[in-house]
Amino acid sequence: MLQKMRKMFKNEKGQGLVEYILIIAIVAVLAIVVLKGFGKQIQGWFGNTQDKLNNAIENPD
Amino acid sequence: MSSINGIFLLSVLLIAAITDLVRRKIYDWLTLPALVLGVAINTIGAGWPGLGFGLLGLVVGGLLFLPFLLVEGMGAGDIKLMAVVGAFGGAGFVLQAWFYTAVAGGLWAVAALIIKGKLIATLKNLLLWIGSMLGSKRKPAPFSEQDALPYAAFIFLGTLAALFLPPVFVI
Repeated sequence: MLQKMRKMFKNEKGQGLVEYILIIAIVAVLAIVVLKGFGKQIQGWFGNTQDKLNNAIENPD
Repeated sequence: MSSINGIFLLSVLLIAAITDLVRRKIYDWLTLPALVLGVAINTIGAGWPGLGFGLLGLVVGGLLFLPFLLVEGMGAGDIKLMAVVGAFGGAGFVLQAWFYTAVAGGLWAVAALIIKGKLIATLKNLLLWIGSMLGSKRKPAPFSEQDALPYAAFIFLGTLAALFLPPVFVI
């Protein structure tokens, strides 16, 4: 296993198969769409959770 | 990124792009010293935090394309080159560069496939591949090396874009 990994990293190829290049591009664009579209919403969730935690710490039942 | 980092990084990437275009290789004699140099420059510039910054960038950069190396869809030269970008620019920068690289490579791939008249066939095969990953029994045709692209050229262009274009996202 270790030997296989070493062999893998030793290769100096710089070629990307076109199918994988397309997949990488699709993943990158989707990641940005998700970040831009839902970034604020996700931040909102974390913000809410933080508020609740702060409240809980300040006003323990 | 400081201008000295930028100049060193772009020089390394340009050499890699040329060797990849001409010989289809990104040589270890270029990438391995560049990894050390990137981390060293950051360490000299900012001390221990600089060392952490460079090493984290190196690891993040190396991980970005690792899955594609494991399925033998990319060469290890590309993985090491992306780690170089991280070693010089840090984790935040390498993510920006990765995004621009991915888009540049994708656009070129689509254009090249259109010219060869293979776009529809390739996209269909890609859908079959995604289906087979999700458990479908229909197998895609094996991906051929015939249409492989010299990815170092896109890593160079993507890094150039990340240096001079506005950031795509803020971390």
